[in-house]
Amino acid sequence: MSAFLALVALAFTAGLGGAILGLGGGLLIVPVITLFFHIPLRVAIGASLISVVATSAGASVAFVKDGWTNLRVAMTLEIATVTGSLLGSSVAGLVSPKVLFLLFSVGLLLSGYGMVRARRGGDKPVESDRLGRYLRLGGTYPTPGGEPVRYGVIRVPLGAAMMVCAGVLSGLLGIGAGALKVPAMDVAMRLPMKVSSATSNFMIGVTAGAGALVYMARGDIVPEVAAPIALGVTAGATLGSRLLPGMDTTRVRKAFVVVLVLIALQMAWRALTGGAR
Amino acid sequence: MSDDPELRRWTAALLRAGVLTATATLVLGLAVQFARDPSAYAARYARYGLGGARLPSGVDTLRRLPEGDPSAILLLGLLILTAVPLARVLLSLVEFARARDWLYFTITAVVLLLLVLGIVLGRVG
Repeated sequence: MSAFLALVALAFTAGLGGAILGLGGGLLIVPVITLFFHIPLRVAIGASLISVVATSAGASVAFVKDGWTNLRVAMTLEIATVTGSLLGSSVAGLVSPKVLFLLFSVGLLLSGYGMVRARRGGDKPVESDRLGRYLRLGGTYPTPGGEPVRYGVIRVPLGAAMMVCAGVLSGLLGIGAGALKVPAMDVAMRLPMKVSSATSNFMIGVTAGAGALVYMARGDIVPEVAAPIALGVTAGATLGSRLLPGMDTTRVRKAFVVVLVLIALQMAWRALTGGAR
Repeated sequence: MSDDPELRRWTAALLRAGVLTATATLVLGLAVQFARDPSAYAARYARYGLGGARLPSGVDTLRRLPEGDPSAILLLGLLILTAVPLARVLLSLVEFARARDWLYFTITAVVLLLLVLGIVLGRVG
């Protein structure tokens, strides 16, 4: 019973922090659950994938309604991410837990680094290239009280390649991999920043969903573990997105970076001293 | 999607409804469990969660849904959650067909097939 409550509480905190800081789902959840609850990695990853589906769906609602999400880009690139996700989930059993722990460690450190670095300002929208035009990937985004702004999409193959990698990481580690999806769109394919975030959020649901389907069909989703985690994360993320507009996130950001680094070090330690399972 | 407010509204509604339904089902499952037999939860958590024992088949678990078996209710909630992205892709498929956008109908169909492949891979693997 107390493990149950602790699980919900921890998942809530992860969801809350994730929503406030735009941190990926899963990157924090899986390490914490395996480190502190001694739950085997594949059970933790399965539970995390389901939570990521929940938070992605919740977070997408507003962006979709307001017209930020680019459905055609999402659908096209989902071919890449879902393929990656199927690959990642399928080979997950073959990869040693040590390697996975180390991957989490690296991912957490990179996330922490990304959080302290200032974000680049927006670049100007571009015109679509041939493939972008053929696939009609360009779109518009809303401006407050003004004309919608047109934008185009370029370098689709590069974006797709990055998306495959993001998908593999998603299926392998049970994360959303938004940290790879967003640059695939805004840096590689030159979509506007907020459109990239919105579309990434949207795509994460299907990517993690693909992974979750594999894990569920394989019998790796344990309801007694996945349910409290999914509920905790969803509740935390809902609260977090309500609080976010009014918040100065700097201090929270700093506190979280410390937590991330500590967990990253723990994961690396476990991997190197044989405590990974 | 910025060119179709109808599709946007339906998609947003589907996402919200899916998460709410799933969440409510999970809460129900937990409530039933803890009202009836909290120790059974702890036992299953220890056996399948910590111990890593092979879970009973999903179909077998769901068969106990009519009796109000908590594990079945929880599994149902998780299934609904997992189905949300599938449903969303299906919705897009229908919309592209209605708009006679065959390029994107095909792209969406490929994604749907890949998702189904995932289920097959899981069962076989």
